Amino acid sequence: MSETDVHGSLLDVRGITKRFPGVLALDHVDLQLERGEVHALVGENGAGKSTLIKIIGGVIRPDEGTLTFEEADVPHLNPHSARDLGISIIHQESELASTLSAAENLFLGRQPRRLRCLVDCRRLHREARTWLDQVGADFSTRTLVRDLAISERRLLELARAISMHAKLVIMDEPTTVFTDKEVQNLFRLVRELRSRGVTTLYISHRLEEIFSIADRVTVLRDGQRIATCPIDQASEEQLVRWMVGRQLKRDFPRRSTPPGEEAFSVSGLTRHGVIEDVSFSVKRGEIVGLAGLVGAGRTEVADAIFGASKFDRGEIRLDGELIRIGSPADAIRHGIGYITADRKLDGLLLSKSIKENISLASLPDLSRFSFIKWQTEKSEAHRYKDLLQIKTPSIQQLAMNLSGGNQQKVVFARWLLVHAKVLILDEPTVGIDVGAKQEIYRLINDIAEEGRCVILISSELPEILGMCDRVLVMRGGRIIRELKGSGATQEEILYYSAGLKEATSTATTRETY
Amino acid sequence: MRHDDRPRKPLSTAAKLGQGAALYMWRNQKALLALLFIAVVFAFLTEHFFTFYNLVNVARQTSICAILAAGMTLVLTLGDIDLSVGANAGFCGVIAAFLLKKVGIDVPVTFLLVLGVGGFIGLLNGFLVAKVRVPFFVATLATMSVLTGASFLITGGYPFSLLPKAWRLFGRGVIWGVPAPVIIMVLVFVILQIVQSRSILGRKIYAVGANARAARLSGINIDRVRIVAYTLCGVLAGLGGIVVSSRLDSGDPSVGPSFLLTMVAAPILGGTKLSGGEGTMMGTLIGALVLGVINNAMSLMGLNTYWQDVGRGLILLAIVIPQITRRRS
Repeated sequence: MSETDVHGSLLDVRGITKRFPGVLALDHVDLQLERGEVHALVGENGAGKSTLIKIIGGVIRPDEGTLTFEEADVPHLNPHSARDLGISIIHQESELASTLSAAENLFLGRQPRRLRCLVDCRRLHREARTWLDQVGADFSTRTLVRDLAISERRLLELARAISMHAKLVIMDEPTTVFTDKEVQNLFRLVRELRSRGVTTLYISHRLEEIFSIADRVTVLRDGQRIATCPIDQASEEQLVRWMVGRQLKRDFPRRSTPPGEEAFSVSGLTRHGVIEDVSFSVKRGEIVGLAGLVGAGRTEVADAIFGASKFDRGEIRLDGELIRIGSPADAIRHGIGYITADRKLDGLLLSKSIKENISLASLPDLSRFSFIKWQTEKSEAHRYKDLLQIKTPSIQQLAMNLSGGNQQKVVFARWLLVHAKVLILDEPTVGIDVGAKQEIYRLINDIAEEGRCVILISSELPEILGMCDRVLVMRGGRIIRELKGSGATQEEILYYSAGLKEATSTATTRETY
Repeated sequence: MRHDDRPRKPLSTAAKLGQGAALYMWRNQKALLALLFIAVVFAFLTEHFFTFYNLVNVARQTSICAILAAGMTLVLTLGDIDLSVGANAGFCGVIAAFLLKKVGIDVPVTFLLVLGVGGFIGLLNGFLVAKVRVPFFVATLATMSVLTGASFLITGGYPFSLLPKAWRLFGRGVIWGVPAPVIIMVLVFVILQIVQSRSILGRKIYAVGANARAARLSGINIDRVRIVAYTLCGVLAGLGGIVVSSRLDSGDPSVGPSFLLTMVAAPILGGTKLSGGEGTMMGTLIGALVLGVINNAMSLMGLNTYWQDVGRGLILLAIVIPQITRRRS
């Protein structure tokens, strides 16, 4: 990307230091943002990205350091004054009022008025429409936010930022739940913002994205700024090296043993209007990928197999025997485990200890006469903590105090402890930093090596291709294609997921990859 | 960092026990400190506070509320509130008196029947909340009203008094110098503390309170856990009703509503979170004792009952507000 549209400094952060009890979150960090640039901020979990954003957004106060916005000192920033200055944050977790409509959210606190105290509904929706059109959102302005998909909520937040004439838009991991098409749309918007002189601070774990959208990149590690440079002077390996402080090759570990005989199969699985006639099988020791866009029905298939949602028709067989699954408890009894996409919402007891989280699905096995055998529980938790290398001083540590990667390992430990024969993984590496991702990949391979069946749902195509023996591409609730893991390409999967013809697959390459 | 993250040294059993006790005290420090502080203050303010007779008296006065608060703690740990516990206890007291006096059933059978009635009412609450999906606030508010009204209907507005002598054991009996209600209270708390911290059920209640979705996806039947917790809460309300009817030597329909505030305040003071997933029985016991001491002191200082109500309300706010502001910061 060029730097021709840079017009001087917008935000100058100097020597910012922030201490939390026992942690130096930011250590004399500098950050300069130019007008109209797209600036990427990268770093592993715990590197201090969120803290830095919160300081720029006025949510928390720094202990030391200065902020200069448009050449003026802004010492006592709070969320309101930050917004008034033109700083908009699009948070990872949406901060919209879920029971209000899209239009009401867009103009929350500044609705067009009539007679001073009445909301001018007609104007509200008319103006909301124009802003939503600008960001390429096609949902109605009257849709309640709780009925919007997460990706649509992000667009709504973006529309709000634009409508407030933000000069700096901060996006915290905006694409974690996006399909590739949505990512492309977002990139188009970011470029449009840039052409209007709006600055974007873009935080992402996906390095491919950063290379296709950013002008410059700043790397944080352990609360310190490691480097800032134009993107065309950095390579992916270089960035990763800066982030983790050591050389790290992003590749997928190989497995030595080939898959065994067929062990798990699903046939004709149907939930009306959601999934249609889904059939597939998994061999012992095989990793089968479910690819597709968000909304293609991948998670819904997992939910149905695990008994988390009902299905209308279909058979599930394990080791040749037909099994009936009416609830997650049934699925677990038959040896099926499920790691959900949202580990905080559906996976962890955040306020409880690692030990209690690991033992949660195996309580009957750890008990005698309905009372938990304390020693056994403790030693099992220790065993899996060591086995998965969960980094924590104690198994009494609360789950909420762990990093994303370690939290995910706790969830893995839970399902290893129940000796699940079939493990369904839904986006197992979302929001996990690069180093921990490698460990999760190795873990998944080990699980397969032990002869278990693994079903891997992922929106990261390199992950699907790197990990899976076979890939099933879903679209509109159906499996539309089966591909060999080794021979398939990202383009191939993309074209099938998007419903395009195979013939064009060699003609164009998508920009992100 | 957290206080329990120190590197582990090998410890003797005694040292381990000591460490465990110290840790426990630290975690419940606020309630305990409050208890000690208040006790010392009142020892100076009033002449009779630190007499054996008065302390036993405090424990006895606390016992009924504490038993009800124990049941309430189970439901609070789920993230719910059972507003009907006090009314259930009052109703059970009336039923006990009715069975003893009007039907003429003997004492042991009545005892079991009344526990069953309390448990059934709890079961009904649990069923309404878990299966019919009535919000807990509405469901238990409704049962509270039904039970209060029913108590008055059964007695015709007047207490049934002069119950059989043997019935007096539960509320007025004294064993080795300790009043029976205090013994019952201690037994209840010891048993429930073990259930809560060591049993599968206890763990499941915590899990449902901490994250019901995760609990369900880990194979826990959350509806069943909820129903069982409400039922246990109801059984304890029955027990509370037995003790109160025995203590008053009558089935008095007007006692139920007076318990509500203390029942909610004691667990909160003892560290139970209204959002669910956290809390201990021992914390609740200490919380109940703190409130008991405060009640006793207010009586000793000669405050009339209306002022005592005002005082209790203010104390509840004083307990809760620091917790909330600490969480916010």
